[in-house]
Amino acid sequence: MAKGTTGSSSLWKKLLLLLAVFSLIAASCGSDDDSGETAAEEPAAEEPAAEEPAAEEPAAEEPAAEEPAAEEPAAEPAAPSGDMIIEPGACGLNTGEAATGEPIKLGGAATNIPGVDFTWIPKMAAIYFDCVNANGGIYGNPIEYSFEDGAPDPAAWQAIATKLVEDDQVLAIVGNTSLLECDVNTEYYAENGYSPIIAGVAPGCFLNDTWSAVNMGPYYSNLGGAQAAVRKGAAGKLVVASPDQPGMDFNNSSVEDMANIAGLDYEGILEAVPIADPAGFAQRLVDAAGEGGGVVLNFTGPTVLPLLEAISQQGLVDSVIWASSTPPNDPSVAQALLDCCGTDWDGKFLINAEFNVLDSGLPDNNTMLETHEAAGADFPISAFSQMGYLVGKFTTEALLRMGEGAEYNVETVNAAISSLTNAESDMLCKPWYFSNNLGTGNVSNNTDRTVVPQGGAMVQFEDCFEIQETDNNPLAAIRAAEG
Amino acid sequence: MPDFKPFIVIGLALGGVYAMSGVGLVVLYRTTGVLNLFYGAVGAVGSLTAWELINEHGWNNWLAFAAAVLLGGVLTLLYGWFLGPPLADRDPLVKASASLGFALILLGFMQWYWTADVRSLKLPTSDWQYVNGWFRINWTQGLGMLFPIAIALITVVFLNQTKVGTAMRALADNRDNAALLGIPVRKVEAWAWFGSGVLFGVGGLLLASLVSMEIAALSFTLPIAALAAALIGRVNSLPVTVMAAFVIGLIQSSLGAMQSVAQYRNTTPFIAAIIVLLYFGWRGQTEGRVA
Repeated sequence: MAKGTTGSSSLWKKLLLLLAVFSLIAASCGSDDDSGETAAEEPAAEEPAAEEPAAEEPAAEEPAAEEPAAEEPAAEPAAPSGDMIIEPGACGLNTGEAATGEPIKLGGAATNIPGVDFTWIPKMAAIYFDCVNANGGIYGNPIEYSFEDGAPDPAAWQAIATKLVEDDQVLAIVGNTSLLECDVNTEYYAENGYSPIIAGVAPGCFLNDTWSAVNMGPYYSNLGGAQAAVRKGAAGKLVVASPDQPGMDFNNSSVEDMANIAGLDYEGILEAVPIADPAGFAQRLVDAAGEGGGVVLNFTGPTVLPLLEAISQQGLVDSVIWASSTPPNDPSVAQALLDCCGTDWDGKFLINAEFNVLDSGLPDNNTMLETHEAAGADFPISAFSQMGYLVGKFTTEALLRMGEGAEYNVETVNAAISSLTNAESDMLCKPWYFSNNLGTGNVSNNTDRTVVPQGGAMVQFEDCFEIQETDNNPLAAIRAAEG
Repeated sequence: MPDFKPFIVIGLALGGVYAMSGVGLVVLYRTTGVLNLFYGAVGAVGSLTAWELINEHGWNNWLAFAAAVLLGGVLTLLYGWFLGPPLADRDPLVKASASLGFALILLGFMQWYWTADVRSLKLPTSDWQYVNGWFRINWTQGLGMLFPIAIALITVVFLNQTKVGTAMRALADNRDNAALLGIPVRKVEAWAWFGSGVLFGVGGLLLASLVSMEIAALSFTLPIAALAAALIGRVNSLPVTVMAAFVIGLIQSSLGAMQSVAQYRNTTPFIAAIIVLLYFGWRGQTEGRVA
């Protein structure tokens, strides 16, 4: 009897152990649901310049933007400034002849763990570089680009940086997209003379002048979503929900700033992802915001879709104004919404778009789609591909601006990248530049659109607008420097 | 005072889906001695297959759902048929670990084949809604609540009234004695593997429709509540498992209505299972001392 009891007790101990192991695996398999960017520390807010015009006043009473029209072109391409060597939609010099000279070695790295695959960004950059190499390269010199991938482990990212710089001896760091690298490798790259051109993820990506990102990150994208919600008439309270991960409190805080400016109450929510009970969470968000309030969602497409489905099924679409940071700006999200919910969401999910819609029909966007398809890429088109394309295009532009016969080494190549200005693309609202050297961190992409799902596509809802300057962000100083 | 009404329906539906997989786990464990940890992955493969058949190959919805459920049964059967006998005499922990290995294989395949694209699987039952001032329920949620109860009742009748069911119970009691009595062990076990796989397939479809089609979530994160319910039922009692699943779903959902504790609601299955397992362990020790 005693033996039997001991055996039973042992079995239950084993089951308890098993539950713990299974739970750990489940936890490790959970999507980190990083929206592509994070930041944990407050950006160094510069004193706004006295002559800077007042920040755009959020106008809750402002009439809502016009209903979107799916067939309308999203936006006119920006007029060329004359600085660009690369023609709109071209791959580098666009000669049609393969480059055969001395390769220019570039390297990158991206986070890749289950649920968070940022390699789509360097992969798209690689596709663009291949296209450049097939079209004359950099005055005959092909770009030799490779990238590493890694888990979110500081030591691993230090090792990756060392490998790229010391072993591979790449001339520039291009397309890095990591959950934490900007908080780990800033000093190392700066000491070694590198100015990485990246898609910003970790806080440091937007807080110092070593890095410059082609995107703006969720802190600012959340803010843009909140601006759209307020303009659409959100009243009473603004609620923002982000994945329960380090740094996300900071990302939510930009919505609090917006709520203060607009005279609304505020609540920030951090939610474990994947969301285990989307219907319950949807109800919680609506209860928190109150009838007519605004809710900003800061999740990736695969995470936000079940939530939007649940909102639709619970009949909560019209209870509040729904807005989002950039990641769901993806045609597949629009199509999935049409499939699941019919026209429930048409014009009612205001997504801050750091880049133009993916089917804008404009030259750079078309080239991205064509090269992506021609390469048989194993990743879908999304805002991440736009980031990769822009990183590739702007790096190529910087190299071309060095001129024919230039000497390519770490010093000259990084000088070219870090001095890049007036870099144009129809994916952006205004030309991009690497840095204004204000010491505030680079947020060169600080003017966005708002898009909405409409009939299975993402269409423009609001044309380019400036992301709100607040007491807690340096946009006033940055714009003053931009002139 | 928070308004719990909407959360009750949502919680019961969620609990029902947990109960569905919980029933499959218990039946399989009682028959084969295997605590199956790939049930979520099997459900995920089924739901992703249904999605592909509908969206990429234009299949009729119901046909695709049937194929998904059948695939769940076949995958589970294949595992049991080929790996069940060699593992039959091993420690339960080894058997469970082996099933976890199969789950990881399926997970790898899904992430390679279906990648991380955005997907949505809507059951036609989600279009039918009943709304009144008190609550709103669609028929997928209704199915989630009622189906597991029906399945549990049918399973109990099956185990007690049919020849195969009696054989399964005999196997659960003593595999060697059952074999000596002439019970076709492999055939009976095959039925258990297949039947539980069918339940995992149905559970996967409901979970994909009610919660998410994220691969890792479907495979591990979401179905863990079913494991917790089965453990509370000591992987033996169907009524306790079903009841535990509903209670977990209900508590988990209701906590969402209380802003102060809402962020901790996902820990409900873990806490419930840990408390119950510790209680069993404590009670076992106490009984041992008394004996």
